Amino acid sequence: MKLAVDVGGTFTDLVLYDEKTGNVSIVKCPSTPEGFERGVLKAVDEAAAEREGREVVFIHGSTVVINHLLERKGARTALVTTKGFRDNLDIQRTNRPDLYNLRYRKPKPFVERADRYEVDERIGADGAVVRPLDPAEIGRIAERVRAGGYEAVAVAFINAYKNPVHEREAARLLKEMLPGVYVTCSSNVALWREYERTNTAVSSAYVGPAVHSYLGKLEDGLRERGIGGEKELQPTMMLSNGGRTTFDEARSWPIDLVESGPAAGITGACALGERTGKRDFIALDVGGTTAKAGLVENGKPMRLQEYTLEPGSRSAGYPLLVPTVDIVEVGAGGGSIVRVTEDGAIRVGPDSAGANPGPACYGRGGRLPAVTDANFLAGRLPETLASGLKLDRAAAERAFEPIARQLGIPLEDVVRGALRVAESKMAQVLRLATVARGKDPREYDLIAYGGSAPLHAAEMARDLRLRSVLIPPNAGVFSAWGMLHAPFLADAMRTVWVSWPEGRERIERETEELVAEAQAKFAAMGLTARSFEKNAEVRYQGQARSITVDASDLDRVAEAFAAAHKEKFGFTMDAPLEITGIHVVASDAEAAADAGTGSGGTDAGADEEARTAASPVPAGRRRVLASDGWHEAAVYRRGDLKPGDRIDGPAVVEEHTTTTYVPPDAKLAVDRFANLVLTFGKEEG
Amino acid sequence: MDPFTLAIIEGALMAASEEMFGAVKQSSYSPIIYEVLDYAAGITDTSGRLVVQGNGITGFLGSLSDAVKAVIAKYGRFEPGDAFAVNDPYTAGGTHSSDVTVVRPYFASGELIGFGACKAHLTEMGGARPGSWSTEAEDVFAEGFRLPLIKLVDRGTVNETILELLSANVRTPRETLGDLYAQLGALQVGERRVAELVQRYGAEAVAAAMDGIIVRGRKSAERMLRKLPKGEFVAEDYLDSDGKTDKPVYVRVKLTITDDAFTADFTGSSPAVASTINGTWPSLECGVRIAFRALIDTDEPTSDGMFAPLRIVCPSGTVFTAEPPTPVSTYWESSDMATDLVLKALAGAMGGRIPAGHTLSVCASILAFEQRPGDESPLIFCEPMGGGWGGSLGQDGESALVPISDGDTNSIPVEVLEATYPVLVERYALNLDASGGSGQFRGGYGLIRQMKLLRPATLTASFGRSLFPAWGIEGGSNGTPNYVEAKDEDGNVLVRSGRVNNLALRAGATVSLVTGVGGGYGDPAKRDPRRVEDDVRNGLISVEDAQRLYGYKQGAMER
Repeated sequence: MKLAVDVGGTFTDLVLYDEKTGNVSIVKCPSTPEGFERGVLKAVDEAAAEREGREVVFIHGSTVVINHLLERKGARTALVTTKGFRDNLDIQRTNRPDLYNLRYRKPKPFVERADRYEVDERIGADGAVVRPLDPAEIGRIAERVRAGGYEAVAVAFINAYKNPVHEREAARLLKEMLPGVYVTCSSNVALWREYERTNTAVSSAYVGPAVHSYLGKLEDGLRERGIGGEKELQPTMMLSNGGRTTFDEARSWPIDLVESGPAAGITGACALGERTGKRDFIALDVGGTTAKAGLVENGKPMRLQEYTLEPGSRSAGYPLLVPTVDIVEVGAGGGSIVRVTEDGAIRVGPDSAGANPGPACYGRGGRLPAVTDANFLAGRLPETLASGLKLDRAAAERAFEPIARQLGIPLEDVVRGALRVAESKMAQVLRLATVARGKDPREYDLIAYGGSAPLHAAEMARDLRLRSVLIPPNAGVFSAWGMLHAPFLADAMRTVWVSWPEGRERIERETEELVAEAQAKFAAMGLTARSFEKNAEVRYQGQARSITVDASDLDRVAEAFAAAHKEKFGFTMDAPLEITGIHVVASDAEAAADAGTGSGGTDAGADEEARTAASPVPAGRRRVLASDGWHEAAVYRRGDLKPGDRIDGPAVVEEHTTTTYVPPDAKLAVDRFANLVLTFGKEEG
Repeated sequence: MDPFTLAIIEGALMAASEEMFGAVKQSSYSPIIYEVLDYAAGITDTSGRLVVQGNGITGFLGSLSDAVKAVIAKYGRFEPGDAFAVNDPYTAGGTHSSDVTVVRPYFASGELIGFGACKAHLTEMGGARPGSWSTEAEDVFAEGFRLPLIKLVDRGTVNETILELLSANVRTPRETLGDLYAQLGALQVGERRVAELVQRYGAEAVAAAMDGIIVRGRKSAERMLRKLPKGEFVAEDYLDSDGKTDKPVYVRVKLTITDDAFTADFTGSSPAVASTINGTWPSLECGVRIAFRALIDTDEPTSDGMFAPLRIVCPSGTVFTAEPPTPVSTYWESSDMATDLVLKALAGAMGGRIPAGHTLSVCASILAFEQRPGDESPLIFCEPMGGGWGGSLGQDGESALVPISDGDTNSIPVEVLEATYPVLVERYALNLDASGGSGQFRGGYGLIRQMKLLRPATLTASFGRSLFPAWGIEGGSNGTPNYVEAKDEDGNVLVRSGRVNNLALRAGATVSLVTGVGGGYGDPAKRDPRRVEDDVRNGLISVEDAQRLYGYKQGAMER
């Protein structure tokens, strides 16, 4: 059996899957911010009956890392760095992204200057020792760290990406002299750029003690419940790269957990894509404040080696060298506020009604019109939500009235217009994922999940002429479901700098070293990697940025690069190439095989799907406001729909965790896995 | 026209300019483009008015529309697939010869629907010195290959003759042409997006959306103007030297602010000088626009509409408005000064919202390393430097931050620097010079980059505000100077100055690039003791300096 638990700020979602029967159980509990492990264990207990004491693979996604960073609740942390570079964290990259702000503030470092200690050592750019490390100096620093009451220490030396010997020696000595203090070093990521790498190490140290303690408590609690064991049965954590790793690995470099939630969604989408035969698609998650999208091609998500914490067009954010799946986002979601500026511009987001007070229609005192209010007034949402909340029509109307007055147009035109602008802005995220990379959106499907995506996915897909929209069952707990499918993953990456193809031998050698490094990580977990994804960072010599290219077949690297460059920038050049980085992702892929598709989502088989059922009987009817005016729409309960069912828009499909809107010109079919599949135009339903 | 449709088109236009900007960044060759972001890309309407601009720095504000208007004036008739190029510093939105602007008319279904323009600093454009700019050029002919406004692409066919000519006249043809292609590629991306909008919503709707952005830009400027203090405000200052002698160059501005106009009059500033620090009319316009834009608090895209109430007055032939063939390759010294003068003139009347002065100068340096056999192209390191910003009411100045004419400009990491160039960086640290910048809210700290050369090189640098540092305000003290110091391999100081002209250095020599502390705001005696305590604890100020400047008493804050 597999058990996935996804902890969010409000809810803890659990999905239990029985490979033998194909049964899936779902538990939703309130999260317990005063000690998140308690909510997790409570959810586990609620599913105890279904477990029947059998062996369970445990997979966990948690916001523990990102919360400690965002809320500045991390450990008292010291930085040990090379002499002459103590100010690295203050200098950052000296950029001022908010161009016309005369009072711009840089992000505040997680370790202030008083807590940074310099060591008179130096490694050169070629990796040679310029000045040796003096153990006595480390001893003196250890004394100060002890006296200063630090809980964590990060070691980050210049050029450690090229040669980590000084960092490792310093970390070893510090660990020896400072039992109980969390010690880590920057060369855990062998990528250049000292500010980014130092910030990564510092952030990892900053959250290290908290993650250590959290996972310890959770591990104990799980053990008491008979969960845990050797090899595949070790409890695991979701990583930002969409895979998972053991608690021990997570403790040693916790920063890699920072973006695990969104990554789990992509992992789920990939599993769903494989099951439904979709290889090229966009995974879309629309939440309260943002729309996020990840592009998947040939079944593989795009990977990045860097992530920005608290990004924004007006702030530099904190760069973290963390392997992630490439997710783009725009600031528009269900809670986004609709407004008209002083000068008459219509805007949706980036400010959001948030959870409190929430949209006006929630009746909790929100007065500003949110996208959710527009959805409600347009008939896309029921009068009473599944949670039992009765929506307040008058409050939603009141919220939109000032805009109607200001523009001098009827309220319903404002509602319709607001939805169009919101959806157009959300669709920007699909453009960023495809068009901005030179991809033709007409060659992709959309897999939409999360609370708000099914309301808007059809309109967004029509805007870009995507092939189809697929909405999985239980779209609202899709991230937890995705975790069931996460393979064990280990990244090994390195900055290199060689001409191509002249440096082929070196690339082959270094790639093999990285494969061995990744395999060693698996060995440390008591596991064996079964497949290796190999990517190279390639560019024309002297060019700014490299493009990530599949390097599993080195004979095809130049060709793949030319194709990617042409696609992205519209031209190629007759110029020599160079490789600037190698990235190996090791996986136990075969081990992460089959899981169900969610509650009621087991495979009904091709026959069921093909059965010529008449349109199902709607549970009710109501008026919905489409882009061309009001329509009478059928309303269905998702639980009533069967594989093979077909529905013509306009329609609304309601379920516990979300609502799907089917525009008048769309058709809906239920596939054999109980996914809703929306299409437009010519395809016959 | 339906306001929601217009909002959708406006959003798409903004996204298109961002996409154009991203395309150049990704595919360019010059670090000055991809790290320093010394470029801009935007879309204008059919009359050349800027609608949206993707930019990483403030410096090219206003340049694009002037370039497009020059193209319209000279050519008038266009075909799909045409593109034009220009680097003339004196006209067409030009600044110095390193900055090349490319303009492409945008078509949909055979109809002209607007223009795309992209201006970028190319690392090498030929001329007397590697990197094209120098501090000693006698005239503009020594500052790089000159491209008058020409048609570079005719209905999709690039004029190879021009490219060959350009290749033969620059030191790094691969990079220079690569960057030019990156610019052309970005303009095509923009055209595709605008054409898609026209196909979908119609040319009329797209034109209306463009107009809407410009109108709202004007409204936001007018609203700002209503809130500004009215009257006349004067500021004076000096540029460090005329480049030939140590004689400072006097500059001034008189602002006249009324309910509907903001006039910046630079009359009375010194005539153009015999060195490269002169600016041209387009660069003066950029400089003033930056200050004006910073006063407008809006999330509207920066469009030509915003500058409708702005008037600039300056006779020709001043240090701000040099005429051909006066050299202008370090024009930023005067253009940035124009920005700073406007802010300085207003600062006292704005109740602490405009901070004290900052290091202002781009503090650019070039290290050209000795070429070795086997080197494919010359190794030229070129970098601007961040410095200390000024204190303002309620906050200390930020440290090590790029000046006003830069923006989302990234410094080069030490590890990338050392892997790319034959240097060992000995120190990359805050400049904690306590001799200036004190105040109730102190100036931010500058930056020190100290490098040992591992191969012979020649050094050129232009660090303004070396003699006249950042200004303090309301009783805060002035900041500290920017300067460059070079020592030979035995540690003897060879030069310590704001200007270095082609200084030959041997391997083992040390170069320190130093930017100053920003100006302080308010009386230092009023500084919150907790702020002083924090600075002492963090080692930003010594106990002695804290006592001397702020009356700090050690241990007073401990309970």
